[in-house]
Amino acid sequence: MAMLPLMMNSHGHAWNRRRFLRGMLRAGGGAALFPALIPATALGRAGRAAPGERIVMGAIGLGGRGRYDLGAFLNNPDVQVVAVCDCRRERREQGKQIVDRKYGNQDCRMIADFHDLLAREDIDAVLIATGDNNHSMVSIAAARAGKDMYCEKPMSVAITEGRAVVEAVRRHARVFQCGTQRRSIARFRFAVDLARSGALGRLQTLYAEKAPMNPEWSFATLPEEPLPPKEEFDWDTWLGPAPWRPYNHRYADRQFWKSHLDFSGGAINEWGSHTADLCQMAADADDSGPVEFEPWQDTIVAHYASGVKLVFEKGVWPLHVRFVGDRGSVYVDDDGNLETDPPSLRANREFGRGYPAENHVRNFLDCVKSRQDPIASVETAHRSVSVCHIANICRFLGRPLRWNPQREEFEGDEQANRMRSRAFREPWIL
Amino acid sequence: MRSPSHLLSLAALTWAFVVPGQTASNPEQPAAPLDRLLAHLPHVEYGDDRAPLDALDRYVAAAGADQALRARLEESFIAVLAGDATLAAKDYACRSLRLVGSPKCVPALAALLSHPQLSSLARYGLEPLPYPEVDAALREALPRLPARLQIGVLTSLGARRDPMAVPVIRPLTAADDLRLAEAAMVALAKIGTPEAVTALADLHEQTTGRRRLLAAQSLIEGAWRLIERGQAGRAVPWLEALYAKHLRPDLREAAFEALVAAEPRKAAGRLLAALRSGEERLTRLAGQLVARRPGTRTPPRLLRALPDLPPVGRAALLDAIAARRDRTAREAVLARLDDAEPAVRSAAVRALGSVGNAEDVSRLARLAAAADDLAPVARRSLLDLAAPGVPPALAALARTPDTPPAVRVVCLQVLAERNLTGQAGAAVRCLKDADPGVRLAAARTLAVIGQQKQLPALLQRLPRANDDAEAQALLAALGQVARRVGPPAMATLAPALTDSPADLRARLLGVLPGVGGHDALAAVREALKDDSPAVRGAAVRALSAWPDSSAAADLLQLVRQPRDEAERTLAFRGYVRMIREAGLDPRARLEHLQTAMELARTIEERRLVVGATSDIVSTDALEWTARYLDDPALANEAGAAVVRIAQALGPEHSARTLPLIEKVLERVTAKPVRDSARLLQRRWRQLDGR
Repeated sequence: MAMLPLMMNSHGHAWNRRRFLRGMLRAGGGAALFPALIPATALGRAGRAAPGERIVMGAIGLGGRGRYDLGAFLNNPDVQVVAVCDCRRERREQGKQIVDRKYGNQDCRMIADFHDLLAREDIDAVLIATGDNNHSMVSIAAARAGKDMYCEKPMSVAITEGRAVVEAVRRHARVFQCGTQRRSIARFRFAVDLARSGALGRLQTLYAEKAPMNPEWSFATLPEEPLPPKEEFDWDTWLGPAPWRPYNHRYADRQFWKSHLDFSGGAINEWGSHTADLCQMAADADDSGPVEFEPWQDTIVAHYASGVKLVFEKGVWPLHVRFVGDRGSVYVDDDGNLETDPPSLRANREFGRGYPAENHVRNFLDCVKSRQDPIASVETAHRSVSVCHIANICRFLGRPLRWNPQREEFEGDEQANRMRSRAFREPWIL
Repeated sequence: MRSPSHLLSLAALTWAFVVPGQTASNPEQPAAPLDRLLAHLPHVEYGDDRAPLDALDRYVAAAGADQALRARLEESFIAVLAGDATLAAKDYACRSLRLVGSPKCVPALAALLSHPQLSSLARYGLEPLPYPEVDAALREALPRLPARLQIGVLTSLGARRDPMAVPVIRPLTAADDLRLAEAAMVALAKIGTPEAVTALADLHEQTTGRRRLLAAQSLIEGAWRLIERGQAGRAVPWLEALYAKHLRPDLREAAFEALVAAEPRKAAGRLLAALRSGEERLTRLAGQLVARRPGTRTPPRLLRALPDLPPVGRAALLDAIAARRDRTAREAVLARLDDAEPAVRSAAVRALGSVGNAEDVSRLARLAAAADDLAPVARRSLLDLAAPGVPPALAALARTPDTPPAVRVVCLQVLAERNLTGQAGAAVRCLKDADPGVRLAAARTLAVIGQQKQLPALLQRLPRANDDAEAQALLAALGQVARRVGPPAMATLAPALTDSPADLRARLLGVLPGVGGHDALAAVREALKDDSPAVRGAAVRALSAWPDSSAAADLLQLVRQPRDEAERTLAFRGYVRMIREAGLDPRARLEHLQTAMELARTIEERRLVVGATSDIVSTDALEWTARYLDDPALANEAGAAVVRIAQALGPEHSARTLPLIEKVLERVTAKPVRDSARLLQRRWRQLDGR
């Protein structure tokens, strides 16, 4: 890329990365950054982009999803991952192995505290795939540190946190992509386009699936266990801004914390981050949202001002959405199925299966270069996950709620308004 | 301490009772035991069954519309905080006061601000309460807390935007602990009054190193607050200084964006200067800010400057015009199609897709037909071009003989990609074109956009195809169009199925499963009696591909009384496929598969049948399939099907499915199946809490 981010040398002069690398080589100071030898790839050979063209990245959070995303980033020749960070030692080592194997060296740094990774001025962008509870905190810190970011979904666990991320990203002129990768998958985009183009007629109902998860864990607590060594598992960082509780290893089990509303958003948020997001896109509501929510049978129904209805459906594999208009409908899922009524709406188009992140990652990298908003921009992501947060609030309170998307406030329900935010546990900063 | 038996009985009781917010199905059920729940609360421990607290949650939620209940709950929770209740009880009380608390609860919560574990929970309760007493309590607590807890209180003061907190926060920006200092700066930025932001500006001026960077970050955030408060003038000098200082590139960019927002009258000038700067990142950002400006018209001053900007500026401005869909900028965009810089030409072609009209179709199509890097960009623009008159312009260009064939092919492809069914007539004209590429593209386009009206033309061309590729394309188009049209397509196809030569009849029979319906099936049955072996073979293949169960009896007849083994194999496979795809209910599908199993002759056919059960979501299918786990030759297929059915049945059937999953792990050797079984077993067990 022709873009040359500036860095400051010790004399306060502006440097760009290419000059910086040359300077380090001339001064024999390469060892400070690169152990022993500069690999050929660092000089732009072996099919990889030259240093000035590259986006230098760090990865924060290396659980299963983080490692998958990391692989998707590493497949891009204009990306160089230089550091990995996780509050668990085992995962830091796994991340480093993935990066070092890709580059054929041992250069990738392991960092325990994400602040230390964000303080590295050679890093342009970060992958944030921590637990959901820490997404907003790390995103805001990344924006303040001047990093662009690809943040896994959901981008927040409370409405005001999401707005804080939007403000941080906008105020620091950063590029933010939320990991709602179905926005970049042709089959899902086609379904959304059918809804938006009027091909289904006047939109009536959008169906968003909830994940099949255990609702009994929404607020569950676990008995205290002895703390593991901080170097192995930094519980204070894992717990992040969530309210304090004594340690128990089961909290960190993915199935458990994904179901728990202190750490994520349960069934509604787990799949709703994708399915409600696609419904928002289909309803052309990327910068607003429904205005009414009501409990209905075992789920939540939301209503847009346009009259379109959004129904959270009970989750059944594979993840899917359904858009219904007065002249047609479309169903699309993760298994590659796309069904339209009438069938001619599909117009013989063929689509692949699965839900890979490659296109979504590429969209982010292109936007880092062009400074354009990616397809799952920060405002879009905030609005979509807000729909899930409000549905959870509605479910807890068990009564209909009126939502003002402009003011991002509930109308006439003080209790609901108190649930828009949560206090950040110290020492974490919102 | 509570007794375990007391807890168990209480949990059982609370689940049996009706609590507020739940619909009472039996009006004679007793009221919820609030007294007992509250009496139990001080004794709860982390890890206890949450049923009693879930029941109490219902009261907390219901208290939103019940002042008496709210007061009673608040009083009880305050008592929990003040007494010697467990940590878990105080945790719950803090969380619940967040929803039912009044000014009365503030002292009890504030008393916990210095508690090493419960401080964050106290703020959890306090932070959203809309009372000035909360601000006063937080301000009062701040100076006397250890640094770690001060960070939390600072975060809450910032979230509440308490302007009276500035004097107590300001000294902490100088703390040795940089994390504490940062929290203080962030809180000042969130408060965002002139006093708070001035404190940040002073700090930025007076400090160095990391603290200065942190101050700059917060200063930008504070400046935005001033802009939102209509006090942008106060922020401008600080932002200009940050922009000029090059402290760090991202800070400069952020300062630039804030400056553009702070002074709308100077915005165009600032954007123009950035577009002229030649600095790629700043230029790209300026382009984005132009794109995000309200309205559609690009400032004329920027448009006038377009030709004289550096290449990166020209490209960025063209991208902004595209994003704004500013049709008034079309002439300026057209002028850049011949730009000397490839990146600018590319941006101009992209922009033309957004702001162009029907007159631009020819230019874009010619660019799309060239063999260079610009071609895919031009093609994308042709797909995006949204002005009225574009579809007929594409069709006219496609059917004009004077147009180069490559350009006509592009137009035909775009007609298909845009699904312009109303322009299918142009593709029909092209079926007879002199150029083979155009003829092929026309057939492929009709496959996508052709309707009933175009069927006769396709049928007429099929016997006249110039080569195999064209014949295949025409047959495929005929099949696709007939599939879309459905049974009414038989009005066109039926005469050809009786009057045509045998080879054409055989080919047309392949189209009929897509058509479906009574008439098409009758034609296939008739063809089974044809003299030509090719036609009879095609008829068997058509039956085996039939889309619904109406051909089931014909297929079974062929399986039971085949003319030869090949016919039987084809019919058997078709029968199993039909069972999977014909949309039958689960019970009927299972019965058909049981019939197929009786007729299966080879192990391959038995495997096919067992594998076909995997789509049937029923416990009967699950158990029938699981029987074949005992047959080593079928165990892998049966295992894969069992796992898939169990997955589709969901966790509510886990009591029934988990033993079968264990059997899969015992009997199956295929690793992917074993891996899926293990994953499912783990997931279901976790959901069961096992």
